[in-house]
Amino acid sequence: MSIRRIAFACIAAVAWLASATAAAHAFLDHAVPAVGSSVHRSPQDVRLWFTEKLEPTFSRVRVVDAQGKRVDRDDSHVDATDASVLTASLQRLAPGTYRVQWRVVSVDTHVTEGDYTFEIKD
Amino acid sequence: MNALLVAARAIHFGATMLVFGEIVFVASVAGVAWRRTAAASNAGLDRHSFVVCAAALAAGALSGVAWLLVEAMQMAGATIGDVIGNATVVVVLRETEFGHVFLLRALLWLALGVSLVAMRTRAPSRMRVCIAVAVAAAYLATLAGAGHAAAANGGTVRIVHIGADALHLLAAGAWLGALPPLVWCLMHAPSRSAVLRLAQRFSVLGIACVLVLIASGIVNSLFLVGSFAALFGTAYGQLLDVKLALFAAMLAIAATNRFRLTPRLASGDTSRRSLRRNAMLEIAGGVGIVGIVGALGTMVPGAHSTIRWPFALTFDVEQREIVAAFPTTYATSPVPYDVKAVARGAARYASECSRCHGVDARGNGRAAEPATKPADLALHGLHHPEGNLYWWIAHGIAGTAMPAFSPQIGDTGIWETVQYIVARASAEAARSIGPRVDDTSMARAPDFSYETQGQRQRTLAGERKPALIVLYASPRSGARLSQLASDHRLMHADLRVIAIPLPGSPSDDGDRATQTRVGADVASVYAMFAGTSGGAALAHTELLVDANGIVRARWIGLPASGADRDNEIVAASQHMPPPSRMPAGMHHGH
Ligand code: HEC
Ligand SMILES: [Cu+2]
Repeated sequence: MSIRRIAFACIAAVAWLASATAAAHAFLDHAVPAVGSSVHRSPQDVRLWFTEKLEPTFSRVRVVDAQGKRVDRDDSHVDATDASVLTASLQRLAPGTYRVQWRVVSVDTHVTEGDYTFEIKD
Repeated sequence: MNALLVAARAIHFGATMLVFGEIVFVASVAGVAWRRTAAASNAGLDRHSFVVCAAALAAGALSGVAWLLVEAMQMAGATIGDVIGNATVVVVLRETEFGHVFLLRALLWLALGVSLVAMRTRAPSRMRVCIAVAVAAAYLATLAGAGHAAAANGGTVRIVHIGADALHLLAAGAWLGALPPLVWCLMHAPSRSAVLRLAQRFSVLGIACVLVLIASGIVNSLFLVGSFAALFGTAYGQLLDVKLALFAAMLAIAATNRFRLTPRLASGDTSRRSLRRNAMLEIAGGVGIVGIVGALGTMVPGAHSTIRWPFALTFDVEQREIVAAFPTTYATSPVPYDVKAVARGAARYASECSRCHGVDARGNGRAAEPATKPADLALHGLHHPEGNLYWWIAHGIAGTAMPAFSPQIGDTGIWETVQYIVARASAEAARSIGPRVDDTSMARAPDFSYETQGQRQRTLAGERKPALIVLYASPRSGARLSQLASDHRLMHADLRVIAIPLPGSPSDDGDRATQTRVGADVASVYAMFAGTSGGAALAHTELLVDANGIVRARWIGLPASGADRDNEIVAASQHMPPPSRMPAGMHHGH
């Protein structure tokens, strides 16, 4: 009886640990404006949530318009309360397609980068 | 560049383990087994261990600096000139976690050097030995702060993971690092009885280390490899397999030493040379393992890379049987499960697949041959791994009418079709869900973005919180939505209400009441999830979706009493499973 209980506790512990896998590279979890989405008003900022905490000094996001011109306010920074969130504030955006480009370093030193687009509709 | 990083890491790990193992061996094995035998060999051992430690500390310093420089180049995306010239290295040391760990370890390195010199120049008192062991342990264990473990999210999880990693390093160091001094002792042992005591003491140390290595190794691989499939189907997992094979070989050698050679030693056979040869073999295995460790830390762990299953068979855990498998069986879709992908997949399905599988995917298309009836995808969609769906669509099913669609449909297109099938089957599964929370539900709600007046855009999955999705087309839904929007109990339950007007919805009252606005594809995809009555779509359906995007409860039609239904909704929302740690959009209903 008690052996069964111990075995059960072990299995539960293993399952709990297994469900909490470390990311070990920062991948984009989700973003706002969302990947490939359309927004109806010009958003004030972009926010990117990553699967892991970031190194603020080496993590950057920028936003460009269809012509490749920067439209963020060049203030990209890691959120003070959540180290896995990267944000940058935006200029007022006219309707059109915009590209978000990011390059981040996770706290275990791995570099990942990527980009996505969103659209402003009127 | 990467080769340099791997080499620097491997040398650094190896050198650090060697110092620790050397000190532990002298203190715990040689000290007891042989100190009291002969003064001459005693002094010889002390000199030997000092020289080895000094060399290992020097190698550790050089490789450590090389490691730091390469990391700085990678982090900053800069050349070596920039890294040194623009003092990027200083920035890394001051501002990153890796840099902080590096500085701490530099201090420990100094302390270790001082304590070794102290032991060498003065009599090695028990106190000094203990201090040296402790500092060497700290110098080795802090390596856990510079690896994958340090990145774990969440307090307890991070502590468990770093703790397991540190224990793993210490046990590996105590075992592998003790092998070189063991060889030295075997060569210089003054008497056969000294060799015997040495072998006996060492096997105690070895067994302790092996037990710790196995336990902490299991915890580590649960975190990093993530699944059994990843152990075989990713580069990280396969390299880990090689490491495990080396470990097993070393265990076999250690067991031979313990159970065959040591007893023979007692009976006076000439097995001293065999012991030494075996220790050399173990050292070779250890060098291989350290090299692999150097590489593993630079790779994407198995839990996060696409799995390519190498075998034609696999074990189905749910069915408890061996089933056929494909390279993509454990692959996860690179295309997110959202309405955009589902809508594109639906369009492709209509043009390519519906003639056989039927407009509503029930396997009843016009071109369906009675002999080989096409599969009912609305039923099967959730019961096969999405990687298998991908494989069948891409490569067809031999001996049946199911054709191969690769390469006319590209990779992305096939995954979009898979996401459509998953959505179609989810909608089908949701039909049997009622107002009570369904713990076994596999119905996945496709992700979408929406805007609420005065707030930034949000997504269904990104919030990691439950939501009530209201699908409506009825003119009378407006009143219900106003009531939902003003019910404070829902707000207190932290339940978002998202209104989705179905295609052909006569008014946009929902928009006004809940002030939410969703994109175009949302309506057409979620129309699949609307309840039906006698074949006709119902004009009002409410879906309770948990924090992981699984549909858990469902109400069809407009309520007789809105307040009563709200009671049920609030009660159900209290029984939602907590958010999982999987990245948004990667959840599965199993
Ligand atoms: C010419 C008719 C035909 C067309 C066109 C066709 N299929 Fe099939 N499909 C079949 C048949 C027949 C089977 C059943 C094979 C069997 O018996 O294992 C099948 C099986 C499948 C399966 C395996 C399901 C299971 O549960 O075993 C999937 C998935 C599938 N089809 C998807 C698709 C998709 C997606 C398309 C369009 C891109 C498509 N099929 C087009 C005839 C067709
Ligand atoms: Cu099937």
